[in-house]
Amino acid sequence: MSTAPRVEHEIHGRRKSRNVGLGLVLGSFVILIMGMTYVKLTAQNAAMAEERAQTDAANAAATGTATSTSSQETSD
Amino acid sequence: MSDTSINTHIDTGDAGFGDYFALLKPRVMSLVVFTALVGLLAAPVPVHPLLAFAAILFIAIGGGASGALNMWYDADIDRIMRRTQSRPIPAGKISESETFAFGMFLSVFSVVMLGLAANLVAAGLLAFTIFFYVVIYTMWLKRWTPQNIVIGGAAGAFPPMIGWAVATGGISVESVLMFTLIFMWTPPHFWALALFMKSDYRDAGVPMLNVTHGRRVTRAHILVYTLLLAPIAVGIGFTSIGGPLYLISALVLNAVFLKGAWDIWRRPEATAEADNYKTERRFFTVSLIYLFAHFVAILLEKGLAPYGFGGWT
Repeated sequence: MSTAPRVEHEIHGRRKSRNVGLGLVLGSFVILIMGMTYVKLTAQNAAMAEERAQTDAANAAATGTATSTSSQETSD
Repeated sequence: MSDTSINTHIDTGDAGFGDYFALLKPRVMSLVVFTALVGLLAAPVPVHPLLAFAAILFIAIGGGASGALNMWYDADIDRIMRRTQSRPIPAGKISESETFAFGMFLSVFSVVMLGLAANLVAAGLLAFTIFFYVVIYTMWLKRWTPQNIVIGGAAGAFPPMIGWAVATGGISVESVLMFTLIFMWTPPHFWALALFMKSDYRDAGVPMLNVTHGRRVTRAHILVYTLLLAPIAVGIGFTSIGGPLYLISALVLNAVFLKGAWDIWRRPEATAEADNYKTERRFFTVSLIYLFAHFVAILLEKGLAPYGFGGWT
Protein backbone atom coordinates (compact mmCIF):
# COMPACT_ATOMS: atom_id res chain seq x y z
CA MET A 1 0.00 0.00 0.00
CA SER A 2 2.69 2.43 0.98
CA THR A 3 4.79 1.79 -2.12
CA ALA A 4 2.03 2.26 -4.75
CA PRO A 5 1.83 6.09 -4.85
CA ARG A 6 5.63 6.36 -4.78
CA VAL A 7 6.00 3.95 -7.72
CA GLU A 8 3.36 5.77 -9.73
CA HIS A 9 5.11 9.05 -9.05
CA GLU A 10 8.40 7.57 -10.34
CA ILE A 11 6.72 6.36 -13.51
CA HIS A 12 5.19 9.76 -14.13
CA GLY A 13 8.51 11.43 -13.45
CA ARG A 14 10.31 9.26 -16.01
CA ARG A 15 7.51 9.69 -18.52
CA LYS A 16 7.56 13.45 -18.05
CA SER A 17 11.34 13.66 -18.47
CA ARG A 18 11.06 11.66 -21.69
CA ASN A 19 8.21 13.78 -23.07
CA VAL A 20 9.87 17.09 -22.20
CA GLY A 21 13.21 15.87 -23.60
CA LEU A 22 11.62 14.66 -26.83
CA GLY A 23 9.68 17.92 -27.18
CA LEU A 24 12.85 19.96 -26.80
CA VAL A 25 14.72 17.74 -29.28
CA LEU A 26 11.94 18.07 -31.89
CA GLY A 27 11.66 21.83 -31.35
CA SER A 28 15.44 22.25 -31.72
CA PHE A 29 15.38 20.08 -34.84
CA VAL A 30 12.73 22.28 -36.48
CA ILE A 31 14.78 25.40 -35.71
CA LEU A 32 17.94 23.73 -37.04
CA ILE A 33 16.24 22.74 -40.31
CA MET A 34 14.92 26.30 -40.73
CA GLY A 35 18.41 27.69 -40.15
CA MET A 36 20.03 25.20 -42.54
CA THR A 37 17.44 26.00 -45.22
CA TYR A 38 18.09 29.75 -44.82
CA VAL A 39 21.89 29.32 -45.03
CA LYS A 40 21.72 26.98 -48.04
CA LEU A 41 19.25 29.21 -49.93
CA THR A 42 21.26 32.36 -49.16
CA ALA A 43 24.45 30.72 -50.40
CA GLN A 44 22.67 29.43 -53.50
CA ASN A 45 21.17 32.86 -54.24
CA ALA A 46 24.58 34.49 -53.85
CA ALA A 47 26.15 31.94 -56.20
CA MET A 48 23.38 32.44 -58.76
CA ALA A 49 23.71 36.25 -58.54
CA GLU A 50 27.46 35.97 -59.06
CA GLU A 51 26.97 33.64 -62.00
CA ARG A 52 24.41 36.01 -63.53
CA ALA A 53 26.75 38.99 -63.04
CA GLN A 54 29.56 37.10 -64.78
CA THR A 55 27.27 36.14 -67.67
CA ASP A 56 26.05 39.75 -67.99
CA ALA A 57 29.62 41.03 -67.94
CA ALA A 58 30.65 38.52 -70.59
CA ASN A 59 27.63 39.43 -72.75
CA ALA A 60 28.34 43.15 -72.33
CA ALA A 61 31.95 42.65 -73.30
CA ALA A 62 30.92 40.62 -76.35
CA THR A 63 28.31 43.22 -77.36
CA GLY A 64 30.83 46.05 -76.80
CA THR A 65 33.41 44.35 -79.00
CA ALA A 66 30.83 43.72 -81.70
CA THR A 67 29.61 47.36 -81.56
CA SER A 68 33.12 48.79 -81.72
CA THR A 69 33.98 46.47 -84.62
CA SER A 70 30.85 47.40 -86.57
CA SER A 71 31.35 51.14 -85.90
CA GLN A 72 34.93 50.81 -87.09
CA GLU A 73 33.72 49.08 -90.26
CA THR A 74 31.15 51.89 -90.82
CA SER A 75 33.80 54.62 -90.40
CA ASP A 76 36.06 52.82 -92.84
CA MET B 1 11.56 -2.19 -0.77
CA SER B 2 14.34 -1.74 -3.23
CA ASP B 3 13.46 -5.03 -4.92
CA THR B 4 9.86 -3.87 -5.40
CA SER B 5 10.93 -0.66 -7.06
CA ILE B 6 13.44 -2.42 -9.33
CA ASN B 7 10.82 -4.90 -10.56
CA THR B 8 8.28 -2.16 -11.19
CA HIS B 9 10.90 -0.30 -13.16
CA ILE B 10 11.50 -3.25 -15.47
CA ASP B 11 7.81 -4.02 -16.00
CA THR B 12 6.67 -0.53 -16.94
CA GLY B 13 9.25 -0.01 -19.67
CA ASP B 14 8.93 3.72 -19.08
CA ALA B 15 12.54 4.78 -19.42
CA GLY B 16 13.49 8.38 -18.82
CA PHE B 17 15.12 10.66 -21.39
CA GLY B 18 18.52 10.12 -19.78
CA ASP B 19 18.24 6.35 -20.33
CA TYR B 20 17.86 6.85 -24.08
CA PHE B 21 20.74 9.29 -24.06
CA ALA B 22 22.87 6.68 -22.25
CA LEU B 23 22.24 4.30 -25.18
CA LEU B 24 24.24 6.70 -27.37
CA LYS B 25 27.43 6.14 -25.28
CA PRO B 26 27.94 9.84 -24.48
CA ARG B 27 31.60 9.42 -23.49
CA VAL B 28 32.50 7.80 -26.81
CA MET B 29 30.36 10.41 -28.55
CA SER B 30 32.41 13.22 -27.00
CA LEU B 31 35.56 11.80 -28.65
CA VAL B 32 33.69 11.50 -31.95
CA VAL B 33 32.49 15.12 -31.70
CA PHE B 34 35.93 16.45 -30.82
CA THR B 35 37.90 14.60 -33.52
CA ALA B 36 35.27 15.30 -36.19
CA LEU B 37 35.30 18.97 -35.25
CA VAL B 38 39.10 19.12 -35.55
CA GLY B 39 38.91 17.39 -38.94
CA LEU B 40 36.33 19.92 -40.10
CA LEU B 41 38.16 22.99 -38.76
CA ALA B 42 41.61 21.87 -39.94
CA ALA B 43 40.37 21.51 -43.53
CA PRO B 44 41.38 24.26 -45.96
CA VAL B 45 37.77 24.99 -46.98
CA PRO B 46 35.68 27.13 -44.58
CA VAL B 47 32.18 25.93 -43.67
CA HIS B 48 29.29 28.12 -42.51
CA PRO B 49 29.12 27.85 -38.69
CA LEU B 50 25.50 26.63 -38.67
CA LEU B 51 26.17 23.96 -41.29
CA ALA B 52 29.32 22.94 -39.39
CA PHE B 53 27.28 22.65 -36.18
CA ALA B 54 24.59 20.61 -37.94
CA ALA B 55 27.20 18.33 -39.55
CA ILE B 56 28.94 17.66 -36.23
CA LEU B 57 25.58 17.02 -34.58
CA PHE B 58 24.60 14.45 -37.22
CA ILE B 59 28.03 12.78 -37.02
CA ALA B 60 27.57 12.58 -33.23
CA ILE B 61 24.07 11.10 -33.64
CA GLY B 62 25.45 8.56 -36.15
CA GLY B 63 28.21 7.61 -33.70
CA GLY B 64 25.62 7.35 -30.91
CA ALA B 65 23.34 5.22 -33.08
CA SER B 66 26.14 2.72 -33.68
CA GLY B 67 26.72 2.70 -29.90
CA ALA B 68 23.04 1.86 -29.35
CA LEU B 69 23.19 -0.97 -31.90
CA ASN B 70 26.34 -2.23 -30.20
CA MET B 71 24.48 -2.29 -26.85
CA TRP B 72 21.58 -4.14 -28.50
CA TYR B 73 23.84 -6.87 -29.92
CA ASP B 74 26.12 -7.11 -26.89
CA ALA B 75 23.35 -7.11 -24.27
CA ASP B 76 24.22 -10.70 -23.26
CA ILE B 77 27.87 -9.95 -22.44
CA ASP B 78 27.03 -6.52 -20.99
CA ARG B 79 25.05 -8.38 -18.31
CA ILE B 80 28.20 -10.32 -17.36
CA MET B 81 30.85 -7.59 -17.40
CA ARG B 82 30.95 -5.43 -14.27
CA ARG B 83 31.91 -2.34 -16.29
CA THR B 84 28.76 -2.55 -18.44
CA GLN B 85 26.15 -3.89 -16.03
CA SER B 86 24.65 -0.44 -15.42
CA ARG B 87 23.90 0.16 -19.12
CA PRO B 88 20.17 0.65 -19.92
CA ILE B 89 19.51 -2.89 -21.25
CA PRO B 90 21.25 -4.92 -18.50
CA ALA B 91 19.71 -2.56 -15.92
CA GLY B 92 16.25 -3.41 -17.32
CA LYS B 93 15.37 0.15 -18.24
CA ILE B 94 15.00 -0.32 -22.02
CA SER B 95 14.19 -3.50 -23.94
CA GLU B 96 16.50 -4.97 -26.59
CA SER B 97 13.96 -4.57 -29.41
CA GLU B 98 13.39 -0.93 -28.51
CA THR B 99 17.13 -0.32 -28.51
CA PHE B 100 17.43 -1.92 -31.95
CA ALA B 101 14.64 0.27 -33.36
CA PHE B 102 16.15 3.36 -31.74
CA GLY B 103 19.63 2.61 -33.14
CA MET B 104 18.38 1.80 -36.65
CA PHE B 105 16.21 4.91 -36.83
CA LEU B 106 19.02 7.21 -35.68
CA SER B 107 21.51 5.54 -38.09
CA VAL B 108 19.35 6.21 -41.15
CA PHE B 109 18.33 9.64 -39.87
CA SER B 110 21.92 10.80 -39.21
CA VAL B 111 23.22 9.62 -42.61
CA VAL B 112 20.37 11.24 -44.57
CA MET B 113 20.64 14.48 -42.60
CA LEU B 114 24.43 14.65 -43.01
CA GLY B 115 23.97 14.16 -46.75
CA LEU B 116 21.56 17.12 -46.80
CA ALA B 117 23.62 19.33 -44.47
CA ALA B 118 27.03 18.61 -46.04
CA ASN B 119 27.62 16.25 -48.98
CA LEU B 120 27.30 12.65 -50.12
CA VAL B 121 30.97 11.78 -49.44
CA ALA B 122 30.60 12.69 -45.76
CA ALA B 123 27.25 10.86 -45.56
CA GLY B 124 28.76 7.79 -47.24
CA LEU B 125 31.68 7.76 -44.81
CA LEU B 126 29.29 8.03 -41.85
CA ALA B 127 27.18 5.16 -43.20
CA PHE B 128 30.31 3.04 -43.64
CA THR B 129 31.48 3.90 -40.11
CA ILE B 130 28.17 2.74 -38.60
CA PHE B 131 28.25 -0.44 -40.73
CA PHE B 132 31.87 -1.11 -39.77
CA TYR B 133 31.31 -0.65 -36.04
CA VAL B 134 28.07 -2.63 -35.85
CA VAL B 135 28.57 -5.42 -38.40
CA ILE B 136 32.33 -5.81 -38.86
CA TYR B 137 33.41 -5.09 -35.27
CA THR B 138 30.46 -5.87 -32.96
CA MET B 139 28.86 -8.80 -34.80
CA TRP B 140 31.92 -10.38 -36.40
CA LEU B 141 35.36 -9.53 -35.04
CA LYS B 142 34.71 -8.81 -31.35
CA ARG B 143 33.81 -12.39 -30.39
CA TRP B 144 35.91 -14.13 -33.03
CA THR B 145 39.48 -12.87 -33.05
CA PRO B 146 41.92 -11.44 -30.49
CA GLN B 147 42.79 -8.84 -33.14
CA ASN B 148 39.22 -7.50 -32.71
CA ILE B 149 40.36 -4.16 -31.37
CA VAL B 150 42.98 -3.67 -34.11
CA ILE B 151 40.57 -3.83 -37.05
CA GLY B 152 37.53 -2.63 -35.10
CA GLY B 153 39.46 0.47 -34.08
CA ALA B 154 38.92 1.79 -37.60
CA ALA B 155 35.33 2.64 -36.69
CA GLY B 156 36.48 5.12 -34.07
CA ALA B 157 39.09 6.53 -36.44
CA PHE B 158 36.68 7.72 -39.15
CA PRO B 159 35.18 10.86 -37.49
CA PRO B 160 38.06 13.29 -38.35
CA MET B 161 37.91 11.97 -41.93
CA ILE B 162 34.16 12.64 -42.01
CA GLY B 163 34.71 16.14 -40.60
CA TRP B 164 37.33 16.79 -43.30
CA ALA B 165 34.94 15.47 -45.98
CA VAL B 166 32.18 17.80 -44.70
CA ALA B 167 34.43 20.78 -45.52
CA THR B 168 36.24 19.59 -48.65
CA GLY B 169 33.86 17.00 -50.08
CA GLY B 170 36.72 14.51 -50.41
CA ILE B 171 39.59 12.56 -48.85
CA SER B 172 43.23 13.68 -48.66
CA VAL B 173 46.60 12.70 -47.16
CA GLU B 174 45.88 14.80 -44.06
CA SER B 175 42.52 13.17 -43.35
CA VAL B 176 43.97 9.69 -43.92
CA LEU B 177 46.80 10.48 -41.47
CA MET B 178 44.32 11.66 -38.82
CA PHE B 179 42.45 8.39 -39.36
CA THR B 180 45.69 6.40 -39.02
CA LEU B 181 46.63 8.23 -35.83
CA ILE B 182 43.45 7.07 -34.06
CA PHE B 183 43.56 3.66 -35.74
CA MET B 184 47.08 2.90 -34.45
CA TRP B 185 46.38 4.47 -31.04
CA THR B 186 43.33 2.28 -30.33
CA PRO B 187 45.06 -1.11 -29.76
CA PRO B 188 47.57 0.01 -27.08
CA HIS B 189 44.83 2.07 -25.41
CA PHE B 190 42.41 -0.88 -25.13
CA TRP B 191 45.02 -3.52 -24.40
CA ALA B 192 46.21 -1.45 -21.42
CA LEU B 193 42.58 -1.39 -20.23
CA ALA B 194 42.29 -5.14 -20.82
CA LEU B 195 45.41 -5.76 -18.69
CA PHE B 196 43.83 -4.31 -15.57
CA MET B 197 40.18 -5.30 -16.35
CA LYS B 198 41.24 -8.87 -17.02
CA SER B 199 38.42 -10.84 -15.38
CA ASP B 200 35.69 -8.82 -17.14
CA TYR B 201 36.65 -9.88 -20.67
CA ARG B 202 37.49 -13.45 -19.63
CA ASP B 203 34.13 -13.90 -17.87
CA ALA B 204 32.26 -12.58 -20.90
CA GLY B 205 34.17 -14.84 -23.28
CA VAL B 206 35.47 -11.95 -25.38
CA PRO B 207 38.74 -13.13 -26.99
CA MET B 208 40.88 -10.17 -25.98
CA LEU B 209 44.57 -10.66 -26.70
CA ASN B 210 45.43 -11.05 -23.01
CA VAL B 211 42.81 -13.82 -22.67
CA THR B 212 43.87 -15.81 -25.76
CA HIS B 213 47.64 -15.21 -25.99
CA GLY B 214 48.56 -14.26 -22.45
CA ARG B 215 49.63 -11.09 -20.77
CA ARG B 216 53.29 -11.24 -21.87
CA VAL B 217 52.26 -11.16 -25.55
CA THR B 218 49.80 -8.31 -24.85
CA ARG B 219 52.57 -6.25 -23.27
CA ALA B 220 54.78 -6.85 -26.32
CA HIS B 221 51.92 -5.88 -28.65
CA ILE B 222 51.42 -2.61 -26.77
CA LEU B 223 55.08 -1.74 -27.29
CA VAL B 224 55.07 -2.68 -30.99
CA TYR B 225 51.92 -0.67 -31.76
CA THR B 226 53.23 2.33 -29.82
CA LEU B 227 56.47 2.15 -31.86
CA LEU B 228 54.47 2.03 -35.11
CA LEU B 229 52.23 4.86 -33.95
CA ALA B 230 55.06 7.33 -33.22
CA PRO B 231 56.24 8.02 -36.83
CA ILE B 232 52.63 8.51 -37.97
CA ALA B 233 51.91 10.97 -35.17
CA VAL B 234 55.13 12.89 -35.80
CA GLY B 235 54.68 12.65 -39.59
CA ILE B 236 51.44 14.67 -39.41
CA GLY B 237 53.63 17.57 -38.30
CA PHE B 238 55.10 17.83 -41.82
CA THR B 239 51.74 18.06 -43.63
CA SER B 240 49.54 21.12 -44.23
CA ILE B 241 47.71 20.60 -40.90
CA GLY B 242 50.96 20.40 -38.92
CA GLY B 243 53.51 22.97 -37.90
CA PRO B 244 56.27 23.65 -35.37
CA LEU B 245 53.90 23.66 -32.39
CA TYR B 246 52.36 20.34 -33.41
CA LEU B 247 55.75 18.82 -34.14
CA ILE B 248 57.17 19.71 -30.73
CA SER B 249 54.00 18.48 -28.99
CA ALA B 250 54.06 15.22 -30.97
CA LEU B 251 57.73 14.59 -30.16
CA VAL B 252 57.16 15.10 -26.42
CA LEU B 253 53.90 13.12 -26.32
CA ASN B 254 55.33 10.19 -28.24
CA ALA B 255 58.44 10.10 -26.05
CA VAL B 256 56.20 9.90 -22.96
CA PHE B 257 53.91 7.31 -24.58
CA LEU B 258 56.86 5.17 -25.69
CA LYS B 259 58.35 5.32 -22.20
CA GLY B 260 55.00 4.09 -20.80
CA ALA B 261 54.85 1.24 -23.33
CA TRP B 262 58.47 0.32 -22.57
CA ASP B 263 57.66 0.22 -18.81
CA ILE B 264 54.63 -1.99 -19.44
CA TRP B 265 56.70 -4.38 -21.59
CA ARG B 266 59.44 -4.72 -18.99
CA ARG B 267 57.12 -5.33 -16.04
CA PRO B 268 56.72 -8.86 -14.75
CA GLU B 269 53.11 -9.86 -14.11
CA ALA B 270 53.75 -10.42 -10.41
CA THR B 271 54.95 -6.83 -9.94
CA ALA B 272 51.94 -5.48 -11.83
CA GLU B 273 49.54 -7.50 -9.73
CA ALA B 274 51.29 -6.42 -6.54
CA ASP B 275 50.73 -2.70 -7.19
CA ASN B 276 47.27 -3.20 -8.74
CA TYR B 277 48.47 -2.41 -12.29
CA LYS B 278 49.61 1.10 -11.45
CA THR B 279 51.77 1.49 -14.60
CA GLU B 280 49.05 0.06 -16.86
CA ARG B 281 46.43 2.39 -15.37
CA ARG B 282 48.76 5.38 -15.79
CA PHE B 283 49.47 4.38 -19.40
CA PHE B 284 45.71 4.21 -20.05
CA THR B 285 45.21 7.73 -18.66
CA VAL B 286 48.22 9.02 -20.63
CA SER B 287 46.77 7.47 -23.79
CA LEU B 288 43.62 9.59 -23.40
CA ILE B 289 45.69 12.76 -22.94
CA TYR B 290 47.95 11.70 -25.84
CA LEU B 291 45.14 11.60 -28.40
CA PHE B 292 43.40 14.70 -27.08
CA ALA B 293 46.65 16.72 -27.11
CA HIS B 294 47.50 15.76 -30.71
CA PHE B 295 44.15 17.00 -31.96
CA VAL B 296 44.35 20.15 -29.82
CA ALA B 297 47.75 20.84 -31.41
CA ILE B 298 46.25 20.46 -34.92
CA LEU B 299 43.49 22.86 -33.91
CA LEU B 300 46.00 25.37 -32.51
CA GLU B 301 48.07 25.29 -35.70
CA LYS B 302 44.95 26.19 -37.67
CA GLY B 303 43.74 28.76 -35.14
CA LEU B 304 47.09 30.55 -34.90
CA ALA B 305 47.76 30.58 -38.67
CA PRO B 306 45.94 33.91 -39.29
CA TYR B 307 48.22 35.54 -36.70
CA GLY B 308 51.37 34.22 -38.32
CA PHE B 309 52.12 31.58 -35.68
CA GLY B 310 50.48 28.40 -36.98
CA GLY B 311 51.54 26.05 -39.79
CA TRP B 312 54.77 26.09 -41.75
CA THR B 313 54.18 29.29 -43.74
